[in-house]
Amino acid sequence: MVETRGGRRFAVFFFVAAFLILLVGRWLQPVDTVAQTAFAPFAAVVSGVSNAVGDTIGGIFNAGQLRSENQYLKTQNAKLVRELVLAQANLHDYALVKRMVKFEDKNSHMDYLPGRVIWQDPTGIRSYVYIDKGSRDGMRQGMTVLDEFGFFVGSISRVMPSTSQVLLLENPSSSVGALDLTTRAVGVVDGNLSGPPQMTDVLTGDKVHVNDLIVTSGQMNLYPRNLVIGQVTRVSTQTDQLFQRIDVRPAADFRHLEIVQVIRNWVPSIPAQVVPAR
Amino acid sequence: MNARALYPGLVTALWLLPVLALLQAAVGPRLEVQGVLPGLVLLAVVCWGILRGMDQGMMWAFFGGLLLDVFSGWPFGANTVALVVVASLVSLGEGTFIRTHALLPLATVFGATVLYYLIVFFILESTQHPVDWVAGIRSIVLPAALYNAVLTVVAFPLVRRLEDRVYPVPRANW
Repeated sequence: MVETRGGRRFAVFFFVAAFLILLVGRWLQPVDTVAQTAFAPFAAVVSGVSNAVGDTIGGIFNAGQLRSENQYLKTQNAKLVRELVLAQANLHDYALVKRMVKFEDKNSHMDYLPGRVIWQDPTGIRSYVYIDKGSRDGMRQGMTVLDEFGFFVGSISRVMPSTSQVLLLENPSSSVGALDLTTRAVGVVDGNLSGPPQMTDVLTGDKVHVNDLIVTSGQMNLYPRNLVIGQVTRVSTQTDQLFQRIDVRPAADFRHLEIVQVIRNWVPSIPAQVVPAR
Repeated sequence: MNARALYPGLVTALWLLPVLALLQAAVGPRLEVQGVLPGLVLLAVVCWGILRGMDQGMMWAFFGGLLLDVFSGWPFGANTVALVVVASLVSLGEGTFIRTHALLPLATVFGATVLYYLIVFFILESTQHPVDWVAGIRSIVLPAALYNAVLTVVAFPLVRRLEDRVYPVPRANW
């Protein structure tokens, strides 16, 4: 055997260095930022090519599935056109009433900046994605991120010069004030590392039904209101519990995020003091 | 092992692991099966560790872990520690018995993936990121371990060919 016990010094060095990096990782963020900025152009090219190639190959292999999806979408489209007509009539009435009561909706003038997802967390624990827009493009921490259809995705959690990290709704660190669109029950949608996000803090007495749409409530001014988060898939109510346990299926497809939209002109304004100082 | 013997392995790691990390982060979603991403860096590290022993395996694990940490949003160092610990355990047998049976690299990669995720989960739990262990093991760890083990069928012979090119003279202890 060539290697001796003394020859293990390299192994010991890497072992100790790895733990040191974990311990001082917080202070290594500038190095991380430089490395991410350096990798970003390569990642953008690689993901762009893979998306193009993947779409072409996927189109060939999934022709049958695409046909049935197309049929389904046509039906949905017809339904939505009918709903749109109704919504436009309601919008007209709403505009009239709004003018009468001088109500201002902060949601009505949102400025979207599209961004491309250039990589996602490689660990397989899907909780972050990185987009090709950074501080140079006016990104700021806390900005709301939607998918290409306008469904809620998450918020900008870290900004680098040419890239930004997006904290997904699925991340356990994510908490979003939410509202049941049908029953107006209020709660918080929390991310879950290995399951669907859950709507918590909904009182047992409040009505929430399966298939109800969950939207952002706009509470605390962290996110604009009425952005679609998802749909209720399971409600678990126990009479001896204060709160219900509600599973929410996100409307955004986090597995296939390619294009996102960042709401640029909505920067969260957290109240300086939630509880007044004594 | 002296530093000179590590040099060809280091050079290989310096070009191969960034490519694999980049592919895993940027192309990984295209290669996912039932929501499970392939662990290309983990596969390379474990296969190289099996073939080249502890020093080389840990060197690759250290470098590969740093790269995954750059691309990952979790606490910096989590992947480095997880991969280094995995590589140290994988390389303990120094490949002597692993080389004797074709299925053993598959089993090693399966076990290494499970251990890797358990360490990452432990670090996440310790850094205020709540982990549902049972659901995590069921929905992330076991499927990923199975996927990586299947990929080993392709990856191990490729890494072995690479090793033959990088180190044309076989190790003395085989």
